[in-house]
Amino acid sequence: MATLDISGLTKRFDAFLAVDQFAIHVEQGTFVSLLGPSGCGKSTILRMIAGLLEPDAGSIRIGGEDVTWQPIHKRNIGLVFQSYALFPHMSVFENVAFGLRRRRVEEAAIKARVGEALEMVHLGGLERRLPRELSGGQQQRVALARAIAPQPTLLLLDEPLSNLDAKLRDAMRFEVRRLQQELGITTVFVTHDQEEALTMSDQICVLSQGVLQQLGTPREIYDDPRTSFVAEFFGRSNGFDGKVASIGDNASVALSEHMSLPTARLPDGAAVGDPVRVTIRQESLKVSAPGANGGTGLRGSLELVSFAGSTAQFLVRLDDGIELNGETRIARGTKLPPKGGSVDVALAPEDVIVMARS
Amino acid sequence: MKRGVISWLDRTGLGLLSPSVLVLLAVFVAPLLFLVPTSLHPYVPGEGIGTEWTLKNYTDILGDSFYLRIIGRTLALGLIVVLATAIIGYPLAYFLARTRSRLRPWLIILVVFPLLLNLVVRSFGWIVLLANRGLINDWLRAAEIIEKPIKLLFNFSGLLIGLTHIFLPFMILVLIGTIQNISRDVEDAASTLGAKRREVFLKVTLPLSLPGILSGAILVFVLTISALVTPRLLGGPTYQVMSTLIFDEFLKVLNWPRGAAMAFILTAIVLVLVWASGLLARKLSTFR
Repeated sequence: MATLDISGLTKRFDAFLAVDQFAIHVEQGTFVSLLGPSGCGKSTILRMIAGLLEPDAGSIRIGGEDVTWQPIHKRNIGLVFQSYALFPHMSVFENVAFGLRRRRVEEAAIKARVGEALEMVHLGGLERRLPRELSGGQQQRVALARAIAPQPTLLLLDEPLSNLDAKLRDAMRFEVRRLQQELGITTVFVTHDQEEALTMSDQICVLSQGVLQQLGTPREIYDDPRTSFVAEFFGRSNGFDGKVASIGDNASVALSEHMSLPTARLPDGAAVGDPVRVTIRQESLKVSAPGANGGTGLRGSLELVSFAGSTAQFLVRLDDGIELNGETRIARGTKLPPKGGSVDVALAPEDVIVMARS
Repeated sequence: MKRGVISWLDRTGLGLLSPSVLVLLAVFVAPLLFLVPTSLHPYVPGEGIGTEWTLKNYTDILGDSFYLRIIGRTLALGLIVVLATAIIGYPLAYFLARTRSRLRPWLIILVVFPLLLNLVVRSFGWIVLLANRGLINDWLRAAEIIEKPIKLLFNFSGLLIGLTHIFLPFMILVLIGTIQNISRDVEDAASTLGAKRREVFLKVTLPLSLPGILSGAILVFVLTISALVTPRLLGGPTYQVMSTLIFDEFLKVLNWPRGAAMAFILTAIVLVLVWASGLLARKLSTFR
């Protein structure tokens, strides 16, 4: 169990800057996600923490000890690979015992600890099976048991759930989180799946093109994005390039010559006419029959309405031509508004997210 | 009835094998079977192949220390060439399987390239190098490491060197395929679990390469003990192995029955070895 401190971590592949001056402090027992689209450098960071890649610059400390140049086998970490990477020629027991044998643990203790680790992932009784005789989900559990059996100071998970089917993935998500909390182990989780990151993490670290975009709790990241990348990465959203129309108490942004939207917050130091990026999450749009609420005074026509189970998705064309995608929860039996009809669109100023654009 | 056979071929997929099976039956199994009666007839000098039936050809060979020595020598040669190609080939194959260099295709062509050269030319190349007044002995003497030339040709070491060189590409190509199939993640997983490089190799990479090593070994072994041209050139007329002996029996002495018997003894030994290694492979693959 330990803290993790990374500073100034940089990695270049030829001309490509994969990770640029990455820094993070992770408290002991914290579950932190590195989240971003593929190619954002999250796996590169994980591999550098594990010691599978050497950084070009920066330092990595686990529990205060500088491990930047320590060989992998001395780091005492547990790593779960996306491909599981089980040893195909060894039984489940030998797979889980591998790390313990390398640490010269006594045979009796190995037996006890392998049994314990397998119980934790609900695989007791499968000790003698070979990996190829297990299902994908079971292999995933063996990989987890193998990583935690030697009691590592740090657990690293490299997209461990992405090879599982959707239902199993949901179940494993909670199981991994429960396991992490039972063990109280500091964990770094790499994923491109925002839902996984939101549901599992204490802290999320959003990355784009090797640069840290924002670090915070899932709530902070979702409700209060600090860059337009973060704002648009989560959920489904509408993005527009606009300009600051007015500042002060009645701050607003112009999306076109004729239309502006009030917003709750402008970027620091914004002046009238500054170019901005405006993000509107789909679920923050509310449509209603004309005249029902006088709210923002946006008026438009419903271009598309589609039923998607617990939600309905729609496309509104505002009177001045701007199109907005929206999503709304619907209850059983709710009648959907007819396509082509005119509607009022309500949008709270807090839901108009405005970021500086350079 | 006929439809039954066709649908059976269809169902089992054995129909796909039939072209190669027919060719093998016609040009390999049939001539071999013709030799079975030949090996069971006596050879009468000056007359040819006799008509009565006898096992004398077999008992003569298996009871004669001259032949037994040559059988032993042939098998030893096969085993040592297998060991040498595996030990030299494995690091090379590992490098070629793992390198990300842009030169990789060219390096693999370099491995295969000797196969494009005529066998006789390659073997003669070794004669130039290994002879008493050849390049190696000249250098060693010039460097005053040795006084008298070392005998490298027309003996076991000559055959060993030549055959190892000639069959090395086969071993390397088989090993490259196997090593490429070992996931890097699996090796990385071993090192994150605390295995030193040596342990990663011994506990993970090597056991996972064993099937490839085994098939490479069978291939090289069979090629080595049946090689004719290289043993003939590098062994000279007097240093014999099974294949050169069989060749001489058939084409020089014209004692076909004894040649056939020797050929069957060699074949039997190979079949037993291949069968045993098949058992071994099955045992290795279910290792727990």
